[in-house]
Amino acid sequence: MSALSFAMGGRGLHNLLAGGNSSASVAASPPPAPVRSLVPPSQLTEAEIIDGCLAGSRLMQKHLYDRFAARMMAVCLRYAQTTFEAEDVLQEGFVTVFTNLSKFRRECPLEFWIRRIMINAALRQHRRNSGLVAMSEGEYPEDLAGEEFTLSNYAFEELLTLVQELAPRYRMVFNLFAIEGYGHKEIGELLGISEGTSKSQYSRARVILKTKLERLDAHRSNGIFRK
Amino acid sequence: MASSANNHTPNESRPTGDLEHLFRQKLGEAEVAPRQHVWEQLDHELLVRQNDSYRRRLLLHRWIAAACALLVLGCGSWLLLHNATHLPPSTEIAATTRPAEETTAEATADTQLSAPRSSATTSQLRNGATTSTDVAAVTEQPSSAATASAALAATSQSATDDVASTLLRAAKSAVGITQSESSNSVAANSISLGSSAAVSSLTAAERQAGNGAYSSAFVPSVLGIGNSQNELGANWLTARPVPAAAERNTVAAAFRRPETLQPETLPASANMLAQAAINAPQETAEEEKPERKRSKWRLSGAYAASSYNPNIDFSSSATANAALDFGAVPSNNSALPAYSARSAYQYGASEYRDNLEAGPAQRIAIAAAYALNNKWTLLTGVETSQQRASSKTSLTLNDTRTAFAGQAASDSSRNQFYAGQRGTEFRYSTVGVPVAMRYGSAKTGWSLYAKVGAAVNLLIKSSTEVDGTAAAARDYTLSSSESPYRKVLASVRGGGGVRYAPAAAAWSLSLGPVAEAGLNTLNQDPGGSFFQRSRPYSVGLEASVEFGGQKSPAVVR
Repeated sequence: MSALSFAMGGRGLHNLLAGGNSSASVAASPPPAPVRSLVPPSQLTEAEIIDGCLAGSRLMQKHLYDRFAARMMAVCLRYAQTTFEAEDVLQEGFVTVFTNLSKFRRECPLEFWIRRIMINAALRQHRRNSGLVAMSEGEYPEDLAGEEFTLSNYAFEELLTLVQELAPRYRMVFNLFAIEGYGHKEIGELLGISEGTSKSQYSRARVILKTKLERLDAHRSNGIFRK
Repeated sequence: MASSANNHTPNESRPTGDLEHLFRQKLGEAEVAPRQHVWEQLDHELLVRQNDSYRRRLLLHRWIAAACALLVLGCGSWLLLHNATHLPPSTEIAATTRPAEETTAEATADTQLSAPRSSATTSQLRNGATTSTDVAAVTEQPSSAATASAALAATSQSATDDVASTLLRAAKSAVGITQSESSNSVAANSISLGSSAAVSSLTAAERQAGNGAYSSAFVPSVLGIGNSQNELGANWLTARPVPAAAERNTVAAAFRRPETLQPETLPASANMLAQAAINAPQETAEEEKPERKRSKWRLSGAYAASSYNPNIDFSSSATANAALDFGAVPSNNSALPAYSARSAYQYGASEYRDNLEAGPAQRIAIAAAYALNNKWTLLTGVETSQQRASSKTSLTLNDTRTAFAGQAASDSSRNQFYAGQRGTEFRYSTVGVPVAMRYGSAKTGWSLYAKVGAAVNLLIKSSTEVDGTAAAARDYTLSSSESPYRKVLASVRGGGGVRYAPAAAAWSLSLGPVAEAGLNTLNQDPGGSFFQRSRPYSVGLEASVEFGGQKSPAVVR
């Protein structure tokens, strides 16, 4: 019943309200345009959601949030050290999204635009916290030989924990370079550091992660999992 | 070692790979549902921001409404004062008046003719009044010599008694028929005209009708136009409430909350707002902290240029009204008869007021400003100002308090006329202490402000200059005992405008209109009741610069 009502178009609804005599014309007429208020959120297009948000609809804002919140939370978790911090970044990012949505030119998928905003929010948070967090980097070798990792051996939570344990500046550089795909020059501009510094920090982060992955493998082979 | 150029391909789906591939595949497209309260907090924050924007719009609407109200009040006041000072001048009345004997005689005859008509029908009462008005106009003839002797005055008095008694009979008959307001008015005027002892009541009646400025020294002319004056007064009184009520409605409408800001359109309840305030982002609090660290003391300098009207009514002074001499005034200034001092004084005072024009005024002030809070600032300091005004006079008077005519140019002990009207310039210099409260935003950038305050000033110097007659110049200082002006003047003032404070500077500029109204009259002996006195006023623009109030160095956290 609900599916039927969701699929019912505006003209179909109009004909239904007009009476049974219009059934023939309904069959002959082209497929009716859907009544957007009755369409489930998953069937709404990005453009419709954006238009609804621009019109000030809180419902459409909720739809937009529901559609992208999970993916953006994962992004924020990578940049933040804790879940609380990630939630703060997520909230700040979505406020920026809703208040600047009119500036979105629709030249790229909305998700890319929102992801960029989330990354910027995370960098702002990083700048605010810089100097407050000092983590011991521990003792790690300068570099390690290349190694192939089997993806199925590692869970999302394990890898996320490893990234969150990195020092903030390493975490930023690693996320931006390895996952987001930024170049070191761009990273240097974003973080206010030189390109060389970005390279060296990334190299250092990579060594730390590789070492930790090896330790993880070793513990796992011994049947012990330790952080 | 990682390369500078990033050429990773996020969509590749190899089962094994290097470290970058591992993290990219596992973390790049992951999804983690945030907790429910994140949306609730986000919803509250959006609500707070939406309400902030509403609040800003509401503030803007209120400023616009206040500016409109100020404009309406200013225009209304100006029109009111303009109308009050441009009613038919008594000099024209005097010019159209003939010698008392002829006027009264013809008026008597015509009034006797008009009396039966007025007693016949209600509507003809108005005709009767019009006829008597017409008498003065129709019977106007060239008068070669003016008469103002005591004998003439006595003659005109007796003639006036006859006319008055006739008018009184006609009025009584009219009252008997109609009991109308206008007939009562006619009767009152007739009684006043007929009895020399009731001159003061005539003056009171005229004042009540809004024409207190016009001297009753020219009684024969009043016979003809007393009713018209009262009609004007009545019209003046009855016409005002309608626009005043409309003005009130306009003001009320202007202050009403706009439709877009009606409570039902605001999406937040008070509880939601309170909750939103609790959940407000920390950076908002961080932004407000520097505002609280501003220095509270500032130094302000202001300059105001305005149009100033001393608005003095010398003719209504207690001295002038104590005893009036009804000597006639010549229809032109070529003749130079001698008049009694008070008649000439009244003539000169009326002439002064009729020709009085506002002049430029400027004020310089240095004040200390103390920020009571983020919105209110108290200002006080010192100021000096200079005002000018102009009028015209045709008299040279020997009276000691004839500020409007300057000093007597001749040695004659009798008051004389110039050959024509001569321009007179008045200058007033004051020093004083202003106190004001200013309401406005303390934020940087452009903002609006409103200011109300009061000032107490000392009139340190005033001067009167008559064109072409240097000897008539007269100066008064604080030590002048014969000065016709008050030495201590109090006034209230208000204004508003725009303020600009650069973000990284310790100064701000303000510019806006300012209006000032005197609490006491400029002349020392105003006479009349407190609420009927004419007080000085000015309207102009004020620019000010304020130094200080810069932010203290940021606290290292």
